[in-house]
Amino acid sequence: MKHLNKICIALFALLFASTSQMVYAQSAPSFNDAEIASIAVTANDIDIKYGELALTKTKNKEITNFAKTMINDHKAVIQQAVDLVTKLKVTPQDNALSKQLNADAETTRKMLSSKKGAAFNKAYIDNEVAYHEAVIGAVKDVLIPQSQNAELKALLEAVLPALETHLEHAKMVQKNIGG
Amino acid sequence: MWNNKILLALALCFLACCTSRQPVTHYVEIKQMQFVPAILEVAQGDSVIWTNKDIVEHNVVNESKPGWESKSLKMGEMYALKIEGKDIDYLCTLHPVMKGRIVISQNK
Repeated sequence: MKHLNKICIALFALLFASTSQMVYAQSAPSFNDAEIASIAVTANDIDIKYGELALTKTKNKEITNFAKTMINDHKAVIQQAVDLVTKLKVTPQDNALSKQLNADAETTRKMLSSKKGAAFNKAYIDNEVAYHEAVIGAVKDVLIPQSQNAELKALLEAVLPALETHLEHAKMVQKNIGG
Repeated sequence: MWNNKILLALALCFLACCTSRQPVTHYVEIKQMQFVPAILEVAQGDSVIWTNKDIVEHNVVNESKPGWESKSLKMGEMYALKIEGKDIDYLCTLHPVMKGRIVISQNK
């Protein structure tokens, strides 16, 4: 059990370290559906904000198109999540992980804001690759297995292919801009 | 003599009816970030209808230029196209890793 806890802690540190600054050192992560809903909404909202920042900072067409897709897709996912929690009468519950995600995202936004031109494009798309890899791992290995409600689980499962496509798309842009 | 001509005309009509092929409508679902089926075999004059089943928006865009393109399709929205010309490679430009192909078959 102790070993399992260590694996879980390590997993979360890896899964949610959006670039390199995060260390999530708590007891073994275990979430109820209200917390999972909050984590899902937070994770989507963070990527929307990265995309909105990118639109103010870049002139690169591929980065612009990618950022627009991230904004639209993650907004669509949030809408589905909001519709579901409304239907289920569940109020998303802030938790240590959603707070940590927001804190890390703030640090990343500051880092991105300090960059310009090609350096910004590279930092943005590198972060998108790392962020999607982390979120995919978390959804697949933690959030889906821990979801109790079948509709919440189904929503997370439905979102997974979109996240995987975003990751492939981000890697394609990364390669095209020479990242 | 007239009877023979009428019979011949009827036979030709019958033959034409049997060999001419009515255009068919094919369906492609856009689901789980894929075109399903990704490769579709059709005949000249057939139609294809794409339906978006995903949460996120998609479009359908001919990779050849000048080509055609759908508007962004929300969940449940459709795009229809009559197929004429040669094989078509298409993609979703919102998610450019999503690709599909329509193959014009002479055997259809």
